Amino acid sequence: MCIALKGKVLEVKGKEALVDFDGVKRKVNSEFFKVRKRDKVLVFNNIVIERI
Amino acid sequence: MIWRMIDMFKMLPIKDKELFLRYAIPCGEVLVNRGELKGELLNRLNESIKNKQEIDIDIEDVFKVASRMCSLLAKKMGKKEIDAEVIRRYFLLEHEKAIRWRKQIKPDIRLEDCLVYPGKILRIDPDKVLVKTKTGEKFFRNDFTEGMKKNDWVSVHYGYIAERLKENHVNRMLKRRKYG
Repeated sequence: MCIALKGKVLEVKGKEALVDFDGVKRKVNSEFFKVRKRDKVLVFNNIVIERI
Repeated sequence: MIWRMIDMFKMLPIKDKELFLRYAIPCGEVLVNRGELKGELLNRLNESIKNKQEIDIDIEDVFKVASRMCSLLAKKMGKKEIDAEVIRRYFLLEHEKAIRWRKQIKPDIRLEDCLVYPGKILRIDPDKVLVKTKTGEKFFRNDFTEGMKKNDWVSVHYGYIAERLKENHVNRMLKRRKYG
């Protein structure tokens, strides 16, 4: 199902962000949305698709 | 803040809305159950497809994730709109990777429901359709099956039959090892 996951940005390096999904951490592509540490984001297929 | 206004994510328009909805509507019930979509709106979209009516709802907003993924793919393919080629490439080929990525992080979904996969129609009843798939014989809703017949290859998604498939799509999809 195309339902994005909510996560919290822990750190940003260039176009990549480390995001915490309720304890599961993943590096995701943040080239389409400028994100900052502590931002809450929606991620799907390893790509930030929205800030919330 | 100014820097927040320069996001690179530009949505492209969906050209083939009916085809997009045939694949996106099956997820709609999950969105309704999660409180992210009104059931009434989903019913209106469903009826629009069944009755071949014009779609006057902002579907890019209703199915935000799928439309954004299609938008990214269209840009990658050098297109300025989300046409049938983009929609099929996303739902028939790229969608699986996205679903598996999600499942790996949050295992709250059933791959058998969420993945789009091919099947062959065995029987069409007034209210349901029996389809043979790699995961066995199953009944699907017959909402979008007008003009389909026994032995047609179709794509299935979350209890729905999305559309009739062409041979090249079936062959590419069947090469995959598993759908469960």
